[in-house]
Amino acid sequence: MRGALFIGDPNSIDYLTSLLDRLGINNNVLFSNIEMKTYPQTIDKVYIIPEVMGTATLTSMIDILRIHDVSIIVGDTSSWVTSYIPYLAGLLSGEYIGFIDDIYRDEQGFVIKKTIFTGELIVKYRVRETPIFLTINPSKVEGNLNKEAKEAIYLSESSPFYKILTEKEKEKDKIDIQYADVIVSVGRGFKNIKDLELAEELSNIVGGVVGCSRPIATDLKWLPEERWIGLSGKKVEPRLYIAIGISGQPQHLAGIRRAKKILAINIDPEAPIFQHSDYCVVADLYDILPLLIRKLKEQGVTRS
Amino acid sequence: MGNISSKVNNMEIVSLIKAIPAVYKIDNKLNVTKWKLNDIDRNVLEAALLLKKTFDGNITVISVGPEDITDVIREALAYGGDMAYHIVTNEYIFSGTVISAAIESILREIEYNIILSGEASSDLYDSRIGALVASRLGLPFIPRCKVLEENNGNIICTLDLDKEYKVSVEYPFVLEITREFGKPKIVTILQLLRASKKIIHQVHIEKLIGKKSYAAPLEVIGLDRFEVKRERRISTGSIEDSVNFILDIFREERIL
Repeated sequence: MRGALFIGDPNSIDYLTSLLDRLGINNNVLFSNIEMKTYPQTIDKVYIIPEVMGTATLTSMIDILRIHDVSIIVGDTSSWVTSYIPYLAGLLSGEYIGFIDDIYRDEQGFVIKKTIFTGELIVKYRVRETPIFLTINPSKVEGNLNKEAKEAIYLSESSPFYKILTEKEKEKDKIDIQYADVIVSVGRGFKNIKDLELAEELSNIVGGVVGCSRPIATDLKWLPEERWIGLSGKKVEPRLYIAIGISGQPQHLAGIRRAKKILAINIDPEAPIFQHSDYCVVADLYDILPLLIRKLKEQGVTRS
Repeated sequence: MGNISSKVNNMEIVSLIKAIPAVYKIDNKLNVTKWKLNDIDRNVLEAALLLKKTFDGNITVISVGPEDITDVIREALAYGGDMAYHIVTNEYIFSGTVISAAIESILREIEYNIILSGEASSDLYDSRIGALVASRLGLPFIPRCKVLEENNGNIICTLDLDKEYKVSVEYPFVLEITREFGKPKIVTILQLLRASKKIIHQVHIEKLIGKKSYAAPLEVIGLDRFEVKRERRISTGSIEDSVNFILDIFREERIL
């Protein structure tokens, strides 16, 4: 059985390779829009595809999947991959399941686990027919994979789906919130961007990183999108998640369900976040944070 | 059947919307007792209204689900939809292949210039229907649109991808709308009353794609609640007490 990887974020290649390896699938095909210097040894063919695709590229990809008799196509959750992978599935009439939690094999085939209903339910699917198309949020990989240089084949597009008129780079963030041990997360309870300094200061003291709910990253753009935690942002599993001024919309809760402990600080006693927290502080963050930071400093706790 | 052109005067707009479970029980399978409109699909309907106001035209709503999602379809019509197709299923459908095949068969029979879908539904969150439908119809798929503008009869879309792009597209195409696409308006009672007179065509999914295809390639073999027991220790005392409460937690959790 052969597999294919669909990579928009080069950092996901080790995790997706290890995932296919765990399923006993190798001699894999890789599709990416970025050429890398080396690739895991289990990758047999490397195809570089254009950022804006159209029917020509997608049809070539389908031909490649057919020629190599690929049964499972697994992609990362970058917006580029999640935009195109269902399209490929539709062309091959294959089933697509996005943002899965895990996949394993039993005697009857593949079983896929996925959290659904904004984290309230876990569903287990058996896929009766292949090929199947999946996306999964990468996790850390233990150890290093053996890698080697490989020749990449470039696919071109004569008729892209759209014509780019202008493009604007987004602010990129080097902090990887996904593996943080402590997260200090901010929501709409913060009135100004400058006030996020309070969260940054607390985060520095407790050795954490600052995350946020969707509006802070997407509407207000106070923090980069890499810090956004939730259903369509990052899903995190810290030892302690400190939610400050976050009401607790289902989409946000879906990103923090696997946190070991949750501490919520919110002025609204009815805020839904309190129903899902271990420690609940009903108070104004503007009263709590300055005093908390001062007391931590007085106790000599500082890491910054 | 899509009309190929770069400009249209009277736009045929299709909005794909989803009714998602609001109240449900699980006993081996999912039993839904109340449905609601998927949040992001309100933005889809806003985008449809914006296009209708700009270009004139009609909005056709398409939705897939059991008999009792009719109220959700009426709500979508109240937002400004002109008529709707309700693809009736016997139960909740997990398979995107099945849903997109059914929608495809309706779209092959009606006129359209642009098909709008939401970036995801908050029940299954696969983020797929727009792309699946586009590929089945051989149409361009334009992902993650957060702003729509008109320029000399053409549509300019701002896409929220790894970079932010402004793009132009030729009709017909499928456009995916993100949550950031404006704030949806509240539907008034008058709009809901008017919507009750609008036509909803109901057709059973088996009539569209056959009974065999309706038996999904995806089998649900387990469905359980994902429960995490939380302690819910609450501090409602003075600011000083609350700060001390937090410091105790930091010590307990070995953060300090």
